[in-house]
Amino acid sequence: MNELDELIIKFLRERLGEDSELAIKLYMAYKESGRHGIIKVINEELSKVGVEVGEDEG
Amino acid sequence: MRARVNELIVRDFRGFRGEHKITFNDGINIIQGPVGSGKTSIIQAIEYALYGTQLEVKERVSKLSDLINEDSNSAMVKLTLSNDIEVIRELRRAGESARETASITINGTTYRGGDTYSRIVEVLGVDDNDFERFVLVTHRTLEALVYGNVFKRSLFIDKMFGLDALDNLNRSLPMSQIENAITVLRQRLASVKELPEIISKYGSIEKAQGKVKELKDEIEQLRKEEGELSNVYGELLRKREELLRGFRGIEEVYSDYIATRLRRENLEQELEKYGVKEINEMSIRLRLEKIKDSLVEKLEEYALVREADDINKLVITNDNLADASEKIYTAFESLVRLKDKLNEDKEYLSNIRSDLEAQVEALKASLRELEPRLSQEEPRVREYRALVDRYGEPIKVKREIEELRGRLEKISIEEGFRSSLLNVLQYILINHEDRCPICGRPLGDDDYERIKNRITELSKSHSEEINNVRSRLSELERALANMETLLPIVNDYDATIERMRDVRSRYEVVLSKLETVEKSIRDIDKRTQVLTRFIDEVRVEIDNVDKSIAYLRKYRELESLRRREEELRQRLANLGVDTQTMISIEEQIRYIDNKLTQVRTKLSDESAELSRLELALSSTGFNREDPSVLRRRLDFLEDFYNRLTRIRAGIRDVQARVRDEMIKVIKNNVGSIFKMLYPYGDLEGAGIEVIVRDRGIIGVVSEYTLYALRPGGRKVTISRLSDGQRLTIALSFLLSTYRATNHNIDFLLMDEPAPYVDQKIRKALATLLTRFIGEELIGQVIITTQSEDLVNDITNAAKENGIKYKVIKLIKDGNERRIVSPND
Repeated sequence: MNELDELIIKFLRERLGEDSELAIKLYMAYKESGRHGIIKVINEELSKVGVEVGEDEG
Repeated sequence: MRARVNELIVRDFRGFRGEHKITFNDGINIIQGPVGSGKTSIIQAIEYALYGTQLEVKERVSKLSDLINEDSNSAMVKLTLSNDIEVIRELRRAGESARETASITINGTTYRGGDTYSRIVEVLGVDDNDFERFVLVTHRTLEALVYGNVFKRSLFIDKMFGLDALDNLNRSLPMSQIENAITVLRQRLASVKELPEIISKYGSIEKAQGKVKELKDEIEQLRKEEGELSNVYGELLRKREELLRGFRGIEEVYSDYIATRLRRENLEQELEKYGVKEINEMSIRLRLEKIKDSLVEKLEEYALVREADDINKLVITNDNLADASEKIYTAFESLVRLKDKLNEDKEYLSNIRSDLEAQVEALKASLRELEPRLSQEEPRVREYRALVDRYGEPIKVKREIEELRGRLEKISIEEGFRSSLLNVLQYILINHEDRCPICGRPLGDDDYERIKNRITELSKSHSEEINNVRSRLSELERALANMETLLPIVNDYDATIERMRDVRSRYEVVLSKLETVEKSIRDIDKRTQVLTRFIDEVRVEIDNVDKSIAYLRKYRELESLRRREEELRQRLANLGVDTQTMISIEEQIRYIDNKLTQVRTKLSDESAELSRLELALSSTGFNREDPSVLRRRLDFLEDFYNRLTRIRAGIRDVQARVRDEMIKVIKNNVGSIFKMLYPYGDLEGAGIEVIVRDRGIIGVVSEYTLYALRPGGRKVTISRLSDGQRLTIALSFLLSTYRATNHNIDFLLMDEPAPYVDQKIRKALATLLTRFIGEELIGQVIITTQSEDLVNDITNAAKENGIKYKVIKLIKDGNERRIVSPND
């Protein structure tokens, strides 16, 4: 994690409160694996109610 | 020391067949070759060696297998950096894709596989995103920075700052997909809203499905029954038609007969239902008379004289029963209105009573407040009265004090005179003066004798009187002071007494009014109760009489229908029609008709129930999904969607904050680097600023402005600068970003940074590159170009400024590519 990431994560924590953990998870997933990573994180959350989204646009 | 590139070996990498090696110097390394000779492949080989599969993940190459030379099944890249770092990556084809093996050796320690990427990021402090942001510079980078519109430039600078990741993150969130899932769930929930009702009615979905089968069987049975009944009905109609066919011209009489008979039967049933067997005008008339008498009496009692007179004059006969009932009802309504009026009066008086009660409470409160005040003041008032009894009213005391003061003054003067005279006489007597010391008259023995007497006379003092007067004066003054102190209390006491008297009198008046109002209300209540009872009784009686009149009318109609029916039957019999047979057929038709109606109603109800059940059950898809599960899922999705919406907004805010931070960090650097790179006097600095604008439908956007500064500080936007000046600003900005990030890289890769440019810009770029190195902004530049002229410009500038450089030539010969380094 570089300085920019640290700065972004710090600001996300300050701005988003309890939503910040998900936001940071999404940000790191994007940094690591692009859109694929984001969809993976979202599907982890949605699996709690048996819903899944695909990697198509939107 | 930060890392520089020492050596690159490629084998079967992209267009390079076989193994090729390039060594790099510190300073400027120029890779020159024609189009397609592999310049970009060299740059990409360095990037691939560093970041491997990330190039595919981040879509910088469509698939890794594209990096393998088309005549080979594997490729290898070996990159040696200073600080004893060596990276080797090898790719092998695996179907459409490629499998990679990687290793990195740092200071003699080798790490393999997945560790390679993380070790490189750790040792260089730059990940693949950062590398693309500020280590690898292409002509697109420079053009985007200083040419084109503000919007594109701003997007690009965001990318340079690493903020595009936030933009892309926001764009990549699958909002539409979640929205669609929410819509689908909402629709499903809406369609199964009847499901809980069905489950509660039938017990379970299985039982409801059982009911569907049952209903289908019943419906089939009913349809069969309906068909049979319809056949019988048709048969009867045909039979009736056949019977009537033989009798011409009787249709009208027959229809009339049947209609009369039907009406008669209906009326009989109706009257039987209400228990009416025999009814006559006389009994109704007597009941109306009775109502009339009691009504007249009540109207007179309540002083409704005109109404009483009107009704009294009414003569009731057997023929005007309905009319008489109407008139009686009209008179009755005047009593109802009176009752309403009494209720209104009562309400009005009740309001007055409430006001009076409030006044009584207020007056009581005033009395409660005044009484303790009087008892508190009473002892002081008694004290005052005692003083008055003893000394009189204050005005009298004041007068006496004035008199005593006058008298005291007079006595005091006399006493002074007496004392002085006594002193003179005693002086004459003691000194035996022969002449009067005052008037000089000679004094004889007689005079002495008179003086002696006079002294005796004057020796009698007035001091006792003076003391008495003083004592009295003092007593009166004390009494007056007390009276003056007590007087306001006495005055207040008297006023309070007066006020209390007034309040008591008002209290009594209000109490008396209250009693009167309460009595009136009680009277009204009594009258209303009596009247209400009467009205209720009479209303029931009038309603009953009205009903009886209606029944009488129907009874009379029934009698008339019976007569008419008999008359028509006789006419039909005379025409030869067997009415008994006809009536029997008509009754059968009616019976079947009723039966058909019943069957059809049942059929319709059961069909409707079946449709409803089938619809509701189909909406569950028979997967027995509980609506509460759907609801939970919908709630979760809506909540999650809202979270993502908040996160998107948050990310935009964070982006703006980071942007400000980045601008703060690099702003000064841009200026100082520009000064180092730009040697002329017409511009003395450069900078960058960001402005937030609302662009309507696009939303709020941040726009960057790169500018130069004229001597004196005036800003000049880049659109007004020459190409060379623009290039300097672009490179100043790039280097400031490069330097603002804490990393361990000391080289810059420039892939064809300025193609198709004129001589001036080429020279400017060449000069700038030598300045990079000369000013120690950066230790090593690797630049690719197809331009011989740029090579010459750079080498000339390097020679002039004493900067190390190396030219690496790429030669393309058919499908073969070679690397030649003349000055190795």
